[in-house]
Amino acid sequence: MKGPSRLLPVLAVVASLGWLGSRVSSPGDSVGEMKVREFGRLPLVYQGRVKPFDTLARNSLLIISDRQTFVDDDGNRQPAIKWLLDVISNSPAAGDHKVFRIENLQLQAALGLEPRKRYRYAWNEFLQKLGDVDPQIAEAARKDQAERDLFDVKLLEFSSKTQHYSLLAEAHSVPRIDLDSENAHLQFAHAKERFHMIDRQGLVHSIPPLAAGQQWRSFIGAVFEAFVTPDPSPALRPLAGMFQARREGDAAAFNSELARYQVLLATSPPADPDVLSFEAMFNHLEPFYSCSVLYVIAFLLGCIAWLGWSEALNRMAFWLMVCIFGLHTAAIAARIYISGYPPITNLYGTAVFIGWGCVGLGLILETIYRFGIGNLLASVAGFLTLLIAHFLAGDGDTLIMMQAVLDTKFWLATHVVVINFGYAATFFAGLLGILFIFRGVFTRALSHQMEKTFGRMLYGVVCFAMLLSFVGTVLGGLWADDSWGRFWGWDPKENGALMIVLWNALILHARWGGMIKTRGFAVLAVFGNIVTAWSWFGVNQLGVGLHSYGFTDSTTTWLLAFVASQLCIIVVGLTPKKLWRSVRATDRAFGELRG
Amino acid sequence: MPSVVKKTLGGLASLKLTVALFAMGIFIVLAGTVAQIDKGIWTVVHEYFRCYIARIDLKIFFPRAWDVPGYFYFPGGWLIGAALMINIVSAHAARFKPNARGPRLGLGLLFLAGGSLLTWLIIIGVFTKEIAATEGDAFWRVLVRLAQGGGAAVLLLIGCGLVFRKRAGIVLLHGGVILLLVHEVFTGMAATEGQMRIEAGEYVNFTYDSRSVEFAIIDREHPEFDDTVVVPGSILARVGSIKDKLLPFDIEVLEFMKNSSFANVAEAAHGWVNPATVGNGLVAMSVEQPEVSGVDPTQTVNVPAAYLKLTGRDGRDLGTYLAHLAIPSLPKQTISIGGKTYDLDLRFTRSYKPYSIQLLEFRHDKYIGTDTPKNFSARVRLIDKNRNVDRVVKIWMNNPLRYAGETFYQSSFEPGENLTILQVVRNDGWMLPYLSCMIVGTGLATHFGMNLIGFLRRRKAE
Repeated sequence: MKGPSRLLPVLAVVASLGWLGSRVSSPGDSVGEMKVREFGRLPLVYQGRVKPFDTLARNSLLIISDRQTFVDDDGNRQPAIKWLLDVISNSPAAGDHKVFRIENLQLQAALGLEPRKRYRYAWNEFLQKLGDVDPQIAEAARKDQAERDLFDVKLLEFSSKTQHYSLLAEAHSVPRIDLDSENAHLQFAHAKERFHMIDRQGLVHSIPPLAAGQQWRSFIGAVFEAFVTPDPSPALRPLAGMFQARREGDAAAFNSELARYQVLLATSPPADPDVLSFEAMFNHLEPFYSCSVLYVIAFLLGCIAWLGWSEALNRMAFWLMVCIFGLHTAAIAARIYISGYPPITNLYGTAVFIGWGCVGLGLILETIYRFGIGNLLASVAGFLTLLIAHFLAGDGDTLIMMQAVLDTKFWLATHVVVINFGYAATFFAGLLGILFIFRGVFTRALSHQMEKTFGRMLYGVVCFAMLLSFVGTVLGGLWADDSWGRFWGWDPKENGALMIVLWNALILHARWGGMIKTRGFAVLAVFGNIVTAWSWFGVNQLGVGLHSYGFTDSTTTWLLAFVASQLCIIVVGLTPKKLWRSVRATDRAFGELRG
Repeated sequence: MPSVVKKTLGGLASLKLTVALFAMGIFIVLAGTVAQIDKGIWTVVHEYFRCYIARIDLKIFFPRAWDVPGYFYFPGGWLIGAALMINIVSAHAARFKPNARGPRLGLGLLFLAGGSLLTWLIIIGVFTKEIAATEGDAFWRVLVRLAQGGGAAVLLLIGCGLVFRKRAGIVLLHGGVILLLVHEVFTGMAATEGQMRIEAGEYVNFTYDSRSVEFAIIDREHPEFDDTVVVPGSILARVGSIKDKLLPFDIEVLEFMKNSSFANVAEAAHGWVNPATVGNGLVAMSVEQPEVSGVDPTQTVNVPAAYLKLTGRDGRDLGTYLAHLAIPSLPKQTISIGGKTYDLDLRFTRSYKPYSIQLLEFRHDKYIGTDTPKNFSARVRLIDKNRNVDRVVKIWMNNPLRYAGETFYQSSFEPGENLTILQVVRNDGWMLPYLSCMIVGTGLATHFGMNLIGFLRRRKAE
């Protein structure tokens, strides 16, 4: 590389870092307004994990609205925490935020709503009709899963959204009891009964333990305690104060109560405040979103590089990919820091991690063979896996507490990590196979030399996949032996992993035996995508065994679509070689030479 | 070598056969996975994996609602495994000739012998502690086991390196694969599993297997021990008369139910004649139910029951009893013959142990504000007079107790009850996978590593 083109990689790095930097600088709370963002860093416990209010806000809004932000009446995009604060303080404004995503026309009609762009509706818009759909929801819930039609499914989705919303509001409400009235005790008993009912559904616990021996409690639980104990939790008053100030729109009062509460927390911190602030910042940065944007840019660069000016653009794409890989790594590290668990604890974690593994492999290939293939595949894999992760994140918090059987950091850090590396390598081999087939069939770019190189890359990656999937699978068995005294139980997930090992072994033995050459290798590697997808998602759909994490029906559809797409690619790869554009091009070249 | 032998060996050692076997293996594993939608794991394991020929229903590959008819036969797990084993061994016999002579060969064989010996010692448990208790971190105890395997793997690798040179990794890793295959066969034939249900404070010295029952006649007269005679469920299932000099009476099995549910006799259909003439059968009846398939996700088990007509040695009719599993709402059934009183008890098959376990405390912790279990743990006292063992150990999730060749893990509990249910597993080949993991891993890493280094060198030279 010579001249100004040498600067391109530098440009890529500087531009991407600059763009990331611009995302870091968060707009703070404006002077004189409520310090809502600071409020977002306060601690609570939900689903067993200590997290900041900000996380609850984003995940709740994701459940209800499919977004981490909402649009206010003036058309401005607002952070989730503002919405949450309105909900939990039971402010009148909460009912007017258009956050409920209702896209089903039948459901819109049932709720008396007019179709609208973006499908977001406010609580107050359908409140009157809620009673009308209640019997339909109960009926849908009674049906077997197989019997439910689309409307039933949408009804139940809607019902879980409204339930989540009401639970948030109720968990932070102060029951109205007229102490002077004659039947005060009856009102109290009713309120208490209601409290016990909602408490069973898993309330947010926002009152922290501030002295030894205390437990996290829900706000409403602490309110009931305040009725009967002489010294209620000191956290109750400032929180209640903030909620009241929010209702009344009194910024000064809100901020002074917030400051009071922060002092209280600082004297006996119930959770590490650094981790909470870090989590809020992590939420704000959305590093995986940044990664996916940058992966697309790197992919485009890689594509342009094929058209011309290859070397310089490939270098540029490579260094851009190195930057993104660094960010991807940092984001995974951040998840480990926040949760205290190894990187993979659920399907979301696997998607993020498999993407990371593929990108790493792509970069290694690119340092060995500098002609852009590694970049291109890495960016595709990075983007697709983050897209999958995005869809898997739809149901809320992606950092979960592990149930007892799975709560072992040692095995999560070894078996789970290695087996997912194995998945990543097998997928990467499949991607290489796809690229090989497409290049050969649809372009003239696959020379003899290039075919050889592809053969070597495929072989290397499959060997790597073989090693990792074998060790990962056996480690899984050893986990079972160490925990239950049973190495292999023929559980569906174990079987899925075994199939990957056997498939990789099959490909390698077929090559050693001379049964396949590069094209056959590529075709088999593409089928490896199906085998891996089966183990990754397919076996979860069977609903058996300890390993199944639960599923949604759309997963099955997507899985079938994926399998179909891979089969199509295999068919393309199996077309006679004389039809391949690359082969025809080489033959013609040979002909011309001879002629 | 005579050419016929060579040809046969060549065929058995063929890589085409290897690839075909892998393909069949993948297919049977897939079939054995989707079959688990309808059947329990244990049933599937026996019908697909631990058998020579599997009968595969077509319907398992399609949505169940379609109810596709038909079936076909396919090589079962054991047949494929055996063929793979023959394939590997023949391949090594045919293709992997020692590539050394004289002292080098001798030294190599010495290392191979040493490595094999170490492997054997590890398998028979020379380096395993008598009580591998649960105090240690999973990290350390697994590392120690893997290190043992690693030691053996390194010795064997040196041996292979001396004898087979460049092919050392391949030979070594296939040796490890053979170990894995052997382990699965051994487990299928020799491993046993049982359960121990211990209430707080209680001592228990037996395990039961909830997959089978026995009818026990217990004489509790002696203060030190109980005199028990048991009739295995397999004999009851034959239905007919049972005579034995150990039994204080003759038994005629009128009806045996593999799975049943209890009902009140008052709810019986009109015209039903109660076979029972004495005991609990006068108030309760057992109604036959379809068999539960193996172990399904809800962990339900079969509840067997039987109607037994008992006749005294003198030919006197002692009445017909409903023999059933113990439930709290019904009293224990007894019978008096010749001044002696016997307990009559249909129970899960027991095996008695030379040690006993007392439950001191059971804990079930949940994450705050959720029903997600955070931990189950049992603090127990282990007593074995023969070996002078009396100590307190904790058994909790992912941290089982290993004692006397058996593994005790926290398996289950009953909500609201202060008790623990431990799964007790015996598998004498349990160290094999640890060895195999290290041996195959080392072999693969060596082979691929050598390839990679060679490749990088060539590339640099280019």
